[in-house]
Amino acid sequence: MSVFSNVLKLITGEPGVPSLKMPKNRPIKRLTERELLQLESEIGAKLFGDVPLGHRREFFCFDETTWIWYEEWKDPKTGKMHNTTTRYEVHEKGILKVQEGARYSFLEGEELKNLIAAMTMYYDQVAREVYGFDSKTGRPLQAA
Amino acid sequence: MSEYFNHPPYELETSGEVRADFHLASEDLRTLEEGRQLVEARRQVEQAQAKEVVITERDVALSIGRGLRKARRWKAGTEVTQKDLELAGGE
Repeated sequence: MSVFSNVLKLITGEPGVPSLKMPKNRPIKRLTERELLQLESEIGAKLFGDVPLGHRREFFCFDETTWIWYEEWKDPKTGKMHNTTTRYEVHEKGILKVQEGARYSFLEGEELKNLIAAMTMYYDQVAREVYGFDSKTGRPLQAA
Repeated sequence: MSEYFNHPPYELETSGEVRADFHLASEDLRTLEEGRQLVEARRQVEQAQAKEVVITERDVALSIGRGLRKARRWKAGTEVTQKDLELAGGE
């Protein structure tokens, strides 16, 4: 009899060892797409450095062709909350930046390059930290 | 120039001026042929270039978006995988 069995016997007073096997058909808890998106967003928020005190930032890939930048902050003078949402849409002609107040513009130059760099970093980190694969090779990461 | 048309053809042929024109015409023909060859060569280059895949920023963004969508659906179990199809007896 093993040490483990003896300890159980001492605790429970039972001569036999109770079954500790997990049922084979135990359902595995899966994260929903929304929960995964939330995890991605947490990584996206940190891509641009520290978020200033009193600010909340989200940056995430909403769907195949839509990226969202959300920033929320409290005005230190008035105490009033402010927020702004910018949507980046991948169109046939390029990437359209959509801001509040019906402001639309196709990205170009440095802004376009910076956004692509951010998307690439996001993909790289999210693939590794949320989905467990290498974004460059597409292969699963080796277990450490 | 208009007086050429007042001479019979043979006279035109013996006229130095006309012969010069003929030579010019010959050169023009050669030039045209060279031009045709150049146009054809350019067309072939353009055709080859058109076959090259030019990756734009927009393509990169779309590719990342598709990759994330696929990963998300796979992780959430909402994507039908090849293995699912095999287990279901399909192809």
